Amino acid sequence: MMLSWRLRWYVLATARVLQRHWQALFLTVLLLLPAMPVFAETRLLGAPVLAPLAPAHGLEWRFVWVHMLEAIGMLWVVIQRTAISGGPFAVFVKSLPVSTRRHRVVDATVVLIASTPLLLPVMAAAIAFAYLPHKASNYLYVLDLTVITLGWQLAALSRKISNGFTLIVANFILIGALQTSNTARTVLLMASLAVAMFALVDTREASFAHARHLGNRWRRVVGRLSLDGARRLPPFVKLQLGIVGFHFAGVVSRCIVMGAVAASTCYVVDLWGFDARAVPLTLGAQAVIALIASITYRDLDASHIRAAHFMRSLPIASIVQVRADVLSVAILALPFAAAAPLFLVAHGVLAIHVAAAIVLSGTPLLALLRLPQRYAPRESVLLGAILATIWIVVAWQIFV
Amino acid sequence: MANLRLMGFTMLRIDNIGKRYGERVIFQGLRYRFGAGCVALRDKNGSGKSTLLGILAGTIDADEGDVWINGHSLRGAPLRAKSALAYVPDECIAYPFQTGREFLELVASAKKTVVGSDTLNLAHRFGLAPYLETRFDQMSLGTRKKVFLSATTLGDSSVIIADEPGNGLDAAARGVLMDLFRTLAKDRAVFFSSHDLELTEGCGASTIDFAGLGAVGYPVT
Repeated sequence: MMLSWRLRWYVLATARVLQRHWQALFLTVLLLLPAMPVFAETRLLGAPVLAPLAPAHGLEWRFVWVHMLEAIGMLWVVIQRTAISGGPFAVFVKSLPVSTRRHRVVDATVVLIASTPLLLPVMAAAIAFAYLPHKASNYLYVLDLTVITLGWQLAALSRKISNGFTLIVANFILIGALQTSNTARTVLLMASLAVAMFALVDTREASFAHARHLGNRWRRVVGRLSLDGARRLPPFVKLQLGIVGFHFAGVVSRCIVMGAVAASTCYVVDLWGFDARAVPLTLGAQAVIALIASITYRDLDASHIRAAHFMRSLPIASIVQVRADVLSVAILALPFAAAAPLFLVAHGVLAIHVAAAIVLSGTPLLALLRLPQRYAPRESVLLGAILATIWIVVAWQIFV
Repeated sequence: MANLRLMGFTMLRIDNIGKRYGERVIFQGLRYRFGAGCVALRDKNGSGKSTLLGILAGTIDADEGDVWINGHSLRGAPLRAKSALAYVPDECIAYPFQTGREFLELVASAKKTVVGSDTLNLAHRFGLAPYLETRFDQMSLGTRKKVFLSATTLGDSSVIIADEPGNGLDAAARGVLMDLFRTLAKDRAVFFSSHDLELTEGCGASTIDFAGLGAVGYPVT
């Protein structure tokens, strides 16, 4: 019963987000994997999980990579912590005579279900292992990684890191195991799994009050950091800054993804020796960055809707708010959208005015992407992808 | 402007207002003219008081009719009409990260003015001084209400619309509210909803119900 209520609350709070994640994943799979053999598909989808097993990588690389995977899992939960931790009703449930063990089981189940998009590479890796040798140790590795990540996710949810030391030990044994031969690896991975399971049993239950309190506290800090330097700014600019600060975790995660897209584009362009594919790839990256940045419209809309009843009584034309939102998203995307074109300018592939034109040409796309986010949020991934494709076709005619 | 207000000038005119939610008619045919003074809307729960006040404030669209504020139509010239309006909703919800001072600055900016001494004095009378730098998501209902009430003094508002303004206020703040509405009513139209007889009398307000506003199908009481 408790699990069913928690899941209903989670679905209510995040249904649209989860649906969009799956839409994006489905579209990516359709675009990237047409007519590929099953093994190649699973290798590609499971690449992040399979990477630490490659013999070419050293201890340091594995250490960083495994921690990065776990950090992504934690960030995933931190962003959704209010929905996952059960909402305001969870505060009341804590007063009921329910055992801590039951709370923990419910927490772990909700986190696992909430993390289904992240489990896709794990599942793909598990399928890929069916075609590879050393099955026992490989499956143990995936299980270890999943349990340790789940441990960190639950720790992030409860805001109690009492079991952090145990998880660190499990992590070290896991990374150490990947450095050894197959027999020793299996034994060490089993030891790591035992330690991780112990940490999981010792995890504190999730706390909605904690999640909200800490969320408020770090929003306050971010708000103060951003607004202290902006005291003299007009109230409407401060308002936009405040909204961005209020959705700090989401904005930061989007900036990380946009940064990764910009960096990957520069890397691939360099790898290709700045040949004729450089500009088309840059245009594609611009469209992807615009798509990622456009998710910020949802944060802006959510904040405006909350205050809309009063704000509509003020003498402000509605277009003013729309312009402010588009400008805010454009400013957020600009550094990432400008990175690849400037990189091409630095290597003499593009003239500065052409690079500026490419960056500016993304503005209409960014403004248009507000429409699906605002008026068709359920289909925003598909409609956004269509708009981005149309923009690429038009920009291709001009710049390529 | 002040002279016009005192010369029986109609500051708020309701012209054949009607509203329905689906098949359910909330009210229709409302017609009334408000000059300077304080009027309290009293009617039973669920009669549509908050809906009517939301329509007058321009936050809810009426299905028929129009509202005129200081001679400006809320449909035809919404920005001019809203420039002459101050609104205090029942649930005083602003952006959660906004402080009281930032909220006042935002309203002042929208009305092309600044937060002056009148507003700050009123805020201090409400005991808001320690809360002006507090964020809305950390304020109680009463504190939020006081911030919104303080904002009624911003700009050159001829019409003040307030939905249950006494809700959540402590005794001292209720005294300040009564004094504020009595003062504003000297040269402005103050129209608020309340079930609180003591507050209505304290504000020196006359009372009216939907029948008094000319609602079709309501018996005149």
